[in-house]
Amino acid sequence: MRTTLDTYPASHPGSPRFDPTRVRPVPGGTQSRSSFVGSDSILSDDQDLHLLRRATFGPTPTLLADIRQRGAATWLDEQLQPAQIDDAAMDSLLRRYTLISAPLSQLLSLTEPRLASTQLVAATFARQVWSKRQLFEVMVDFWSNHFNVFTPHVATYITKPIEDRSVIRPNALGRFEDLLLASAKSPAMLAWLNNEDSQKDEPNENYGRELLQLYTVSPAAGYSEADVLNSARILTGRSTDDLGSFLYKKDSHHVGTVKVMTWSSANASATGGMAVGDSYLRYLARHEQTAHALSRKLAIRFVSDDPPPALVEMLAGVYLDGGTAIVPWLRALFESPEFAAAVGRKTRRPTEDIIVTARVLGLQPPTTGVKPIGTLVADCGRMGQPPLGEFEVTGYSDVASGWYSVSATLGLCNLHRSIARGYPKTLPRPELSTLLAGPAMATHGAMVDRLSVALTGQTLRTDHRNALLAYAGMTASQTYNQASVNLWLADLTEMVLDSPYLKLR
Amino acid sequence: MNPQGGVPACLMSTESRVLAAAETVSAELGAQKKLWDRGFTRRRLLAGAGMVAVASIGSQLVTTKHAYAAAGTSNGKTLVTVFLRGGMDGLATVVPRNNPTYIEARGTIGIPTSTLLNLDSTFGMHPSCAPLYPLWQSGKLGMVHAVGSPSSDRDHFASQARMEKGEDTATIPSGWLDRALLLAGPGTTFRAVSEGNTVAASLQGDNDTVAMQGIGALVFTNPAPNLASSLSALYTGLDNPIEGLMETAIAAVAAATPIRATPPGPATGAVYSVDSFGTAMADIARLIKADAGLRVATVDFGGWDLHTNAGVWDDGDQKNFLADFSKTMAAFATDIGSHMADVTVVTMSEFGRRLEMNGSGGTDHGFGGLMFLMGGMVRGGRMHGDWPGLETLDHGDLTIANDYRDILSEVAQKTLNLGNVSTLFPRYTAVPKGVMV
Repeated sequence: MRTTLDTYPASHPGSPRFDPTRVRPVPGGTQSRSSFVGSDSILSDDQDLHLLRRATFGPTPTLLADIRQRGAATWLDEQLQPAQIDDAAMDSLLRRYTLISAPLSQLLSLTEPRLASTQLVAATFARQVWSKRQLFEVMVDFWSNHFNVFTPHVATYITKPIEDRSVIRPNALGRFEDLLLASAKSPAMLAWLNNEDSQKDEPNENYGRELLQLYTVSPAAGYSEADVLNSARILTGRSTDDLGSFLYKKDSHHVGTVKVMTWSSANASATGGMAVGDSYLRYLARHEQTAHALSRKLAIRFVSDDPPPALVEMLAGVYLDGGTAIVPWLRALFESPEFAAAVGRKTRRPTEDIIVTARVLGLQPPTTGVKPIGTLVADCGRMGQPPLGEFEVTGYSDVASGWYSVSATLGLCNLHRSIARGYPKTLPRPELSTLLAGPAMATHGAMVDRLSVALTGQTLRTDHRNALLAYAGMTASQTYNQASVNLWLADLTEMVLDSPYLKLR
Repeated sequence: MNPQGGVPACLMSTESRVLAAAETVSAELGAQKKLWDRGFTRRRLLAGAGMVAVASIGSQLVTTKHAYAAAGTSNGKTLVTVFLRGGMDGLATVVPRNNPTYIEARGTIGIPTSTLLNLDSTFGMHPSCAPLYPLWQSGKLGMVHAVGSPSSDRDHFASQARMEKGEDTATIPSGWLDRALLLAGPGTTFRAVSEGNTVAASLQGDNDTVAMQGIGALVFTNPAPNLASSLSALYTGLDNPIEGLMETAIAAVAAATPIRATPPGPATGAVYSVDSFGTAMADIARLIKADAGLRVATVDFGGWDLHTNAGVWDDGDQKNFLADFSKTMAAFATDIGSHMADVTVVTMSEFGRRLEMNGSGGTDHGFGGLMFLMGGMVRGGRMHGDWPGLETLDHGDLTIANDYRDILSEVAQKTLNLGNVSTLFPRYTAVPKGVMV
């Protein structure tokens, strides 16, 4: 049975709490961060709820009860150590996606290698909906998008699933430096950006350029075209065998002095080319401009579409001080006053909208097989955001303006209607009536409040509450009538799913 | 407010009435924007200025975010831009005839002169473009060769972004078509349409662009009569741009309803290719025929990145792509019929392809590309711009003798009647090349 939330206190006495007034020193120290003013969002500024909206793919009544009981700090500590979280049900579901963990030898023997990638796409979505390691999945999504490799693609059918399990996931909460070095040896990446074909005489600049532009320092570092060419030269030789494994081809490696910005190497031998490349990658990972570019990107993910520069500066300092470690960087973000003040400043992208819909309605994995999960994944595609499916090397936009689609806006409204009414049919879920479980409600106003809290964690602003009631031809003070509620519950649910209370996060 | 001014309402079209209303509020908006920039929020603005009343007139929505620049005079004409993504091979499409350099470099994938449709003394067109040939002959179709962005780095993504933003560095937030709309002045719901999942980069910016996958998708499956008004109420007073997005979506459903009631099929003889490009162009034609107020539309046609196995003149990917492209372009011309006088279609691609065939029977990323220009205002039946020839190349590629910004500036200015267009490509002084009548 569902737990109703309107009985939970906003703050659980005695539990360790975030202290939003705890301000970290600003590197450089000249810019005041105390003047940052929060928005007057319609979203509740309850900090537990705020944290869940950002650090997970959507608060559920269970999650909210959990964070209330244990306190946000404890909850976050646990999320930052995902291996400590029992995720047995998820693991069990993942075993149905046999190819995402299959050894390379098995993947190579597939008659339809594409299936390895389509399984990865579906499993990615399933994990976002059902994994208890929610912040981990958010960060896997963040890094997968940062090092975007369009999936499924014929060049990476079997190597992308391997990259997911051996490059992205092991490093998602580790150190960026390790992630970058692993990515620069990942067959999927090397194929996607043509580095596998790059030759010393005629280097293919694709990967060497994006390494600077997208993955590390960004154009703000002011590197030159000569730097780009040298970047490509340094990486020549990083290739693959024909079977999907990394292979350093020393005969392809450019030998001779290379210089990129303030880094240089004599690069005197072909056999030493890997070490030279790793040294270059470490330089990039620890570059001040990388710290800045990544910190801004992280703040865009978790804080707002246009994050305060002082916050970005603070995060860049934490990133560098921590030797590119991701956990302290995230912790600093979540403990910042800018984070606390940014309630309601992010918008759910289409697939995040579908995921939160599945989560708040309590959809469960199918009892056997995975087919209906694929149905929802296809819906993600129809709404413009198939998981791992951005063709542009930049990855998906993470700001609201990248997603202003009338089709998707309407499409999601229509999809909410379908899902609220039982689609996809073979995904088990509780009856909608459990959304209203709890003590008897005296009025329709109380009913709408309970429904809103069950779906969004909060009640709606009075005018919005009244709009919802009016949609069903009800008034707030009207005596609760079970027959009317039965008639309108699906419509009201759909309307809350459509509402800005779930569109914003 | 008296949006009709001195003209009796009955003599004005729906669009004219909406436009007049928009003009009335544009000055007020301009003044308010200064406050807005200082953090004066939309919610407070709406509460304070009582502007909700202009949000909707009839079934069409005034685009309220546009008119901060001096509004131009909308002339009821339409610019359709087609982005051929992946690097379209201009040298396989409009081919230098009897050119020994071309013949040698292209090897087995070269298009033999004997198969070409004769364009002029220098060029012939790929035989798969035959559906376009009558348009060339009747002066409705012209081409620009060796065209592109001189700062192209042969990178798909950067080059596309550069071309769509209209800036060398692509750091400018708005797209060039968004800036064109600023100059064109206010309009209605379907004033700017991106066919696809998201608003094209060229249309990102201040204007409310309807990004859609066909007008058929603009529908609420929920039949409840008060769904739209309830949603609208739920999206009131948010101090967030999603408020405007939902407004636009709701307005688009309303505006699409009468259009969807018109016969959906293309005109007799208009047969589009069965692919997303054909579907999108048919949809654009429908909006034009319905006089929906469409000013700017973007359509994508991807997949031109033929690094391997491009095929030969009468078989393979290159031939198939050009055949599908030509079929749909010609179908569009047939479909819109007499509206052709008020429509310009311009195609672009991020770059052309290398002159020499590579080791895989394809071509690698090149430099100078090709643009098609189609419509009643186009100076058709001729090749435009300079032709640099194949003797002097840029890293093995056709050079860029014609800057894409010269072409797009002139096309937008003439089609949309824009006046001074220096803001379209702010870091470049565009020079008209006489591609438009």
